[in-house]
Parts: sequence; structure tokens; C-alpha cells
Amino acid sequence: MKKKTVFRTIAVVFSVLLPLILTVSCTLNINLPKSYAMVYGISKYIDSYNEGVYPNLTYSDDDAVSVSSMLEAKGYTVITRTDSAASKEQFLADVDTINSEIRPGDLFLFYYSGHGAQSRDLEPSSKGVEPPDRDSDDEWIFLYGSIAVSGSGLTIDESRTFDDDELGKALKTIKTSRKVVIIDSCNSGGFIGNTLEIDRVPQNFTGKINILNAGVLKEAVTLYADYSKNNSAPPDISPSNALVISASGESEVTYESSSLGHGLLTYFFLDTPKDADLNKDGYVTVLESFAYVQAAINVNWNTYYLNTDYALSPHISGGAVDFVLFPAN
Amino acid sequence: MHKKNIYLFSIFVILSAPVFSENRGFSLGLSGGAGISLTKDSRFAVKLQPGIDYHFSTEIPLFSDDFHIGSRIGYMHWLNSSLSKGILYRGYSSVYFGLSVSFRRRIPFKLFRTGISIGGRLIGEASINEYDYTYLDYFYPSAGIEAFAEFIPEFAPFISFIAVIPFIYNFRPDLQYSSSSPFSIRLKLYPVVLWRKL
Repeated sequence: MKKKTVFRTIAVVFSVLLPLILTVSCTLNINLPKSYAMVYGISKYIDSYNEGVYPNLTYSDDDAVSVSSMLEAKGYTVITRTDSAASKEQFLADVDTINSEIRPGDLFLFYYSGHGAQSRDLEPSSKGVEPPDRDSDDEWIFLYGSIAVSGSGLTIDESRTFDDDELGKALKTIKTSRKVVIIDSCNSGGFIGNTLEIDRVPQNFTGKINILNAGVLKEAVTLYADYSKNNSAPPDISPSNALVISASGESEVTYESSSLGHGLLTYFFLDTPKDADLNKDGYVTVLESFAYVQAAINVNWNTYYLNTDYALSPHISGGAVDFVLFPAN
Repeated sequence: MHKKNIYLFSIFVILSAPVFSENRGFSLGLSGGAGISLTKDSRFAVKLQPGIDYHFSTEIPLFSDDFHIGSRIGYMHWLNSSLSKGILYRGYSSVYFGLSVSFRRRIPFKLFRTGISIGGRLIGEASINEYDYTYLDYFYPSAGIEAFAEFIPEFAPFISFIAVIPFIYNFRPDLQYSSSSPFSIRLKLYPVVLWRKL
């Protein structure tokens, strides 16, 4: 009788309890928090120039309008700013507006389409413990008013741009722990501030993923050992601050396409509600959006530009946490 | 070169000693199992992640059949946690290497004339991990304990079946808490016993 009891107990554990745990953990009845978004897109940096005339872009304002519509259809409360309305001053004012409404458990998303750039960090020591060998460059997004025509050239007003560290600080003031940033601009991979993970997708992607070799292992162990030091004042936007999806690596440019009518990342991101529910659970997460967009760019763009400077790859923040962006269509 | 030969000779002595003694000698094991991982970020609630574990292990008896040292190399995959309240923990894969020490006692059991050994094992592991859908790799060490029961069938005493219930704590600096318990069944082969049989 005792033997039977033992075997019955084992049978219950393995045949009932385990599947029950699996089922419970896959339960689809979820309570999504309220979602807020600030959507910025700048095509016309210089009002007197037409769209598409350098330094103006052609589709960034359209990117923002389309992303806004998509997010509104998914239940987001959206603030949309295009061209001259998308300034740094307006960004800071919009953050205040969001903070007056958002609660700690809500989701916040910042989307940006426009110019981005990279420059050598002249004073890495000014950023506290930022490891200069890991992040010796600053990346920038250019809000309206930061680019002006001066004679035959352009001048940059840095005070009206956001660099990676400064945007990270601005995001920290938003009163929720669920933040997502999507940046469709050149060099946007530099906004990702992983302090534990090695990204094997090169920041200057030409079609090859770095192999998992002894060098990667050694670097991963080093990052683990230095985690506390690096994370005390993390560079860029750390995964615990916000999850970032970037259009390109920190050493890459990205493109907008007349045949697509959008920036590359945005064009495929707009498809995510219907195509990016990769595990068919009815919801699209940040990671699923990234995976879908990365695969779509590989198939529809990189196929034609392998081993050239035109090849590019989106990147995503590390960290163990992922957020639901919206229900799938 | 001289040192290397000494090491190789030592390993040979350790592995071959059981052939001329009473104990069962070294073993090779293949494990497969499923279980749960508990994950908690400091900002969010703890959640379960179901997963699977496969590993290959080898153990060498020290002094007697009761005390073993071992090593293992394995693969785990943990699925996403639930999506409840709009947050989830990412699924990831791990490749790990571990060292272990174990102690076991044979106890009489009416069903098997060969008896059952029960015991415990201390484990230290190091793993390289990658989040699903990404090439983001990260490292963390782990430590844990296992309780196990080993059944040796009378018809084939050179093998054994082992049921293992582990608890592994993961030293992840980015999480407030992370542990895993992949319940597994292990098939072990004792080459020395097989050699004696032959």
C-alpha cells in the first residue's frame, strides 16, 4: 500500500502538477496597464527648405503620424509632435504632462524618427564611472531647432539635442518603471546601455553575427564582475531605465525609402500588431516587435546589401524583463 | 610536459583503481528533465518560467561508493513567464559547466535486491546565456543542492536510474532573485561494472 502511495505521488507530481504549472504560467487572461506615448518625428529641420532637401528628411513626420495612429488604435494615449513642434523644450513640457497623468504601473513609450549622429566623447571622465573603453562615443538625436543653416554650411546647437546619457536622465524622471524607447535614426544603437550583456550583432553590421568564442565568454565574465561598478552610474539608457529598440547599430546609418514611404524600422514596426505575435499568445511584446523588425529588415533589405555599408541591423536592450506593447490584431 | 604526464597518470590511476576494488568506479550520466525557474526583478513581482534541462555528467568515487566528485556540461532553455499585468521575464537558453560533490547511502528496499541509494549533491555551475530572439549573451554563476534516489536494476547492474530534485540559486546581479529547479531523470552507466560483467 505504501509503495502504491509513493508511485501515485510521483505520478501526480509529474503528470498533473507540472502541466498545471505550465498552463498557469501561460495563462492569457492578463490585465494590461494604461499606456502613454510621446511620438516625435522631424522631417523639416530647416523650414525654408523642402522636405528631402538636406538636411531635411522626407518621411520622419509621416513615420510619427503613422505610429501615432497605430498606437491610438491600440489604446494608447498619444502626444504627437512633428517638425517644428518636436523641439527639446516641447519634449520636456510633454514629459511634465505625462507625469501629471501616469501611474507607476503604466507603460510609457517614446518614439523618435529623425536625424541621429555619433561623435567622439571628448570628456569621458565627466560622466563619472562610465567605462571609456566601452562607451567612448556619444550618440545624439536632433530635435527641432538643433540644426540651423549658417552661410554655406550647417551649425548644430547641442543644447537643443539629446545625447544618449541626457535622454536616459530625462526618461528617469518619468514616474513609471515600464518605459520603452524606439529610435528610428542613424547611430541609434548607441542609446542602448547594456551593463551585463554582450551583443553579438556587430554595431557595424555587414551580414555576419560574431561567433560565441572565448573572447565573448571572457568579456561576459568581465561584465559580470564589473556589474556593480558599471551599474552605479550606467551610461546611455540602461535596461532598468527603459527598453530601447534602435533602428541601427551605434556605428551605422539607417535609411528612409521612397518605395516604403517610411524609415526602414518604422515601416516594419507598423506591421507588428498583425505580424509580430511570434508565439501566438495574442500579445506583442517589445522583444517580439524587435525580433520581427530585425528579421524583416534582414529579409527585405540586407539580402540585397550583404557585405556593404548599406547593411544594418536593429538592436535591443538586454535585461530579463520584457513588456507587452499591445494586443495583436 | 612532465607535469602533464603526471596529471594523466593520476587520472588513469583514479579511473582504473575501482577495477581492482569493490566499488562501482566512475560513471557517465545522461539527464533530461523539466522544471520551473523563479525570477524576480526588484521592480516587479516574482514569476515562474517553465523550462527543460539536458546534461551530460561524469562522477568518480573517492575512497568508497558513498562519496563522489563529478563534473557536468549541459543545456537549459527557460520559456517566457506569463504576461500577467503586462510584464514578463524573457525566455533564455543556457550552456553550463558544473562541478559537484555528492554523498549517498544505500538503503534496503524490498522491490530491488540491489537496494536504493539516496543522497545529496552540492553543485557549482557557470553558465553563458542568451535571451530568445537575440544574440545578447551574459554570464552568471550558480550554486545548488540536489536530492536524489538511485535505482540499480538487477538485470543490468552496470546502469542505474536516478530521480533528481535540484534547487539551484543563480547569482544574477540584474535580478533580485533567480533560482531554478529542473526535476530530472538520469541514466547512468558504470563502465567498470560493465567491464567486470564482460
